[in-house]
Amino acid sequence: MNRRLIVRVATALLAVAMLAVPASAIAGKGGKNKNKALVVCKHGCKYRTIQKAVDKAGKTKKKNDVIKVKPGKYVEGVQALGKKFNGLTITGTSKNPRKAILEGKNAKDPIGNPANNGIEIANAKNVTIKKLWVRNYLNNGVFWHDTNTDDNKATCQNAVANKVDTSFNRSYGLFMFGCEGGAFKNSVGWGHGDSAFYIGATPFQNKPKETVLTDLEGYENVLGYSGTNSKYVTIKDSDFYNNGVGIVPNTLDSEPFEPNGHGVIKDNNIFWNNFNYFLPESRVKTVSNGLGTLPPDLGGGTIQYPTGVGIALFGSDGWKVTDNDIFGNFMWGVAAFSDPLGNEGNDALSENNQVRNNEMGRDGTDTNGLYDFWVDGSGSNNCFKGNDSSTFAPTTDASATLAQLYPTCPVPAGTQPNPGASGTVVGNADMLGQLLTYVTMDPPENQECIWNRHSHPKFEKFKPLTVPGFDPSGCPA
Amino acid sequence: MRRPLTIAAALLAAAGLALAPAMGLAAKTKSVGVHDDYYAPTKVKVKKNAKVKFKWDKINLNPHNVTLKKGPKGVKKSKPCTHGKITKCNKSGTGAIGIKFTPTFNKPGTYNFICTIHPTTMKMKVVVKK
Repeated sequence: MNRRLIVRVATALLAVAMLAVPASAIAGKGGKNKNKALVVCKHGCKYRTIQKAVDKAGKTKKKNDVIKVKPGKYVEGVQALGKKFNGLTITGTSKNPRKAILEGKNAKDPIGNPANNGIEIANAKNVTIKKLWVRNYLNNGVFWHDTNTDDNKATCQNAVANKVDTSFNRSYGLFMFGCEGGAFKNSVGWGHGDSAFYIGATPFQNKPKETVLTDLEGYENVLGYSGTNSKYVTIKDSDFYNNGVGIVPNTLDSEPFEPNGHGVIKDNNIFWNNFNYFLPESRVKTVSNGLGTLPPDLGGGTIQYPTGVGIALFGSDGWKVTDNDIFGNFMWGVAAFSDPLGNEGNDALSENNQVRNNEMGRDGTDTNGLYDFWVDGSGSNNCFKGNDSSTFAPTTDASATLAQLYPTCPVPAGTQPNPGASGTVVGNADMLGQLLTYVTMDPPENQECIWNRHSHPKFEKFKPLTVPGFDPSGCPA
Repeated sequence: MRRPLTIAAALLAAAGLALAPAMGLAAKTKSVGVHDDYYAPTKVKVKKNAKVKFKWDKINLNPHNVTLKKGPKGVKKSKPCTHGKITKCNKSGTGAIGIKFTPTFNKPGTYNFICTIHPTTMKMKVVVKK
């Protein structure tokens, strides 16, 4: 062989070797502890549905299987039920999560039911979902859960969603229930009838595993983040805008492990949460039937979720709300209140929450409608310090001072707006009346009657959302 | 020659339909609603070989299931399924709406069911008589 030929042969071999790299990359690195990836695509792969690859992963003896999903639309409801799926990863192969789509319209789950979830993971640890777009399911986008929260076995741990976009799933986008630890990151959720991101029923833990939500974007949802009885959650570096409420940790009897608490909300942009989804022209409908009915002696009426609020701490214990930019929410920037109307055991108690060092209202250019802060005066040890441009909602009857309702941190001894009910779910009667009047507006789209609306100056790439059709002439006098 | 087969099948089906009540096979199907976050009713009595149809409320927000917590001796817990004998199909799928679950109670005894997502608030029992 002459030298030129040798060079050509060497070049050809090198090219073949380089061509082989992507294939081996798809197949995994081949180490003893590495499994061969299961590749799913619409044509030409061994697996044409994600479920078939998941079923195969459940039969392999090795853990930590990786399922790689090539671009395409997959109409199915995927289930990975049980510890045999510990360590499973399902990932799109494109950097763009919108390329590999899990589509809920006409999708069925493995036993033939209409698919309620894009992916359901039960009783499995360390399951990661990456780089997918999960949309239009009857209930949720991706749902991790423990099927028996009674047994304290914590079978759902360290669930991770990274670059998973969810849209127009009927209830929730990314949903953890009864899980410990884990993370949602780099993901976008919109169009949900409840919330884009949900951490609920977190078990009590002696050494808590933190659940971290970071670099998220939630918009045009009834709620951006919701977490019934959520605990040990940090929500940071995210944008929550154009929702009914941006962030709502809450306590309800309907789920185990009351109350919600011990969370952190920091370094987020929480703005323009004025989505009046109650209006007929909204393309998102709430799936909530309300939070109960007001007793007749209090005027009756269905209690609806509030709208126009940045953060609502509902029956929360021990949240730290710090260093957020909160602006342009037409009702309140941050609200904190208990549930005095029927929570069994009065677990929904607002206490030990700190609201510190937040930038409110963009230096007065995009204020939070009525007030930056609103509390019902219930519970104890809630404090406010170092927040810029703060306006605090007062009583209308001078029954409590602002210093009593919004004490500084740490709370000075003896500060309590409602001495007769110190530390209980019973707040200041006047403040509670303000809240109940608001959330029982009939029809509920008339909550907008009370908003303090204004135009918003430009903010980054975002555009405010206004649902057309609100008729101010229908507002009560 | 498909027509004679069709006629034969129709005749057999008609005969089957006619015989079933006489043989006591067509026990009445009862319904149980699956709602946010309760079953209704919470106790059902049926005869052996009756079906119970669990109906998910169309306005549910939360996911629910129907899972056997405790049954008669010898009944083992199953994987999720939609229909079949209760001895082999005693756990529904999990979802808010549209889930199908209609087991046939072929073995007498008391069956206690829960929703594993809401185990304290969603409980019900089916009592099967001989």
